[in-house]
Amino acid sequence: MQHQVRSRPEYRDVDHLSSQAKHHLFIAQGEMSDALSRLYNQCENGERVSITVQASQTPEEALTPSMISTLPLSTAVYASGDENFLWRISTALTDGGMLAEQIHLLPPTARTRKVYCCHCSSFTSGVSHSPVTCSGCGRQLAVTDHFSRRFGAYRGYQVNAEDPNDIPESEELN
Amino acid sequence: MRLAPKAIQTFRDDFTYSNSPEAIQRFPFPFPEDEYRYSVNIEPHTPKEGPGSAYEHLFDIDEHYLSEMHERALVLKEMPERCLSMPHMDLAGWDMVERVMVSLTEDYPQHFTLTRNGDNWRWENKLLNIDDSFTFGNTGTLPLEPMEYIGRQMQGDFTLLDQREGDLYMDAGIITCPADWSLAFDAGMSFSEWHGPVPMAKDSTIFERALKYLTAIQVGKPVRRLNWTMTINARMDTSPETYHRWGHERTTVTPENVGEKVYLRVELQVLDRMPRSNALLFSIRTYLMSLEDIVTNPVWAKRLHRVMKTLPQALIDYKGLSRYHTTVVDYLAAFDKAN
Repeated sequence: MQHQVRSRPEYRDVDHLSSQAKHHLFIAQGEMSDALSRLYNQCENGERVSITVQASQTPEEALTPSMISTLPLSTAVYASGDENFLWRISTALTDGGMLAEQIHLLPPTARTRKVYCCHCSSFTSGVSHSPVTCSGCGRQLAVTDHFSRRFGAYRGYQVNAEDPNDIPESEELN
Repeated sequence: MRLAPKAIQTFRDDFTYSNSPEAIQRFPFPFPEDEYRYSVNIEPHTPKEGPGSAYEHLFDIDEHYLSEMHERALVLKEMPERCLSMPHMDLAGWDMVERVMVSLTEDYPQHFTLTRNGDNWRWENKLLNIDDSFTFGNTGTLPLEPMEYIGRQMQGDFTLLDQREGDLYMDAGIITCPADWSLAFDAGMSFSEWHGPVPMAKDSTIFERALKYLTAIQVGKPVRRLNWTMTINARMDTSPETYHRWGHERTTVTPENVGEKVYLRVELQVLDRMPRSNALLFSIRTYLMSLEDIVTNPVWAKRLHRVMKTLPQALIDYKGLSRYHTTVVDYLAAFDKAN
């Protein structure tokens, strides 16, 4: 039976700016997505700032605690990127003292997942199918829908731990 | 008649763990009726079933104390990350130290002594030959962080749940005998998140109601519930981290060995409000009982048969029973001729 795992985040389109905010910060993973651009264009110059995080930079490097501490209290943040990027941005901001309601995550720009191996604690990125080979220990991991916002990743466990010959057909993740 | 802890037995490799007749008799059998029914089944954690029962004291110490403490030390030595406490949970750790030391001293004075002189405390644990003096609230005066220090002297797993914005967050824990969940992965999750994998309709209000109830728990009014699953061999550490070591054991159950191989695994879960930090101490005290020990009680044998027969497929899968569920039902049927 397939049941919906409640730890898996649901995303909604963000169509308009937060009405409570006077300052708007836009954070994009690489190129700004169309959805983020539309929001950006709803602001006046002077009340908007955008940050582009390049592949050479981690979300945490782009959003340092000292940078977050300079944001006005009435700031709303809009982030677009893949799911792991979104939650790392979100964690950096909340660790820096921002409230969850100030942070607006746009639906992920990629369908791939980051997977945490519960056996060796490594992460495997860009996962589109289950099972997947763990980049750390090489085990075949079943990818679950159980999601950790702290890691921005889904839990994976050895798919054939009960019976080594029992490896299910590859399945595309949605 | 309360049991004295016996010499160390193992929960791994050669599995020498066993239950005495007294331990069988006091086993917290988790099924109140003849068929499976999903419920939160929370009740006040007050004594019931008389002296020596598993419900007599806030924390139950039994004949397996030394074995479980040895097992916990083995797990933590190999995987220190099975104990985790976020920095803001330090005060909750001290709350736990006080709650545990005070109640153990009251309930088991032959084994534990706490002597307090202001903030200068002396803790004696005669079972583990511990005699430590420290300053309450000052982590530098203990050999370990407070939660880990006391958690290594307590049977069962513990988490400390931070309460904020009407929700509970799993921000600290010492988890060496989990029923297939990972503290390293679930750390920091909210109540509904860490229950994510439990197969319930998404719109089920059961978790919302449980959360409302739990966030309202008051100091000095702990509550309890029983949870259960099954485990092959007397293995305490059925963690996802070690699943690659124990998963294959689920394929080893046969009609000949099912009685000795399959264990009913019961968690006596207690939630207790901490006075300084407002955290909830969530203790998960695990009892393992082989089917052949359970069927020595005809009432339990019959009831377990009926529960297992009516268990929904989603739960059979979720609890990891799929490979041997039928073998268990067939074995138990012999004790329930009328059904």
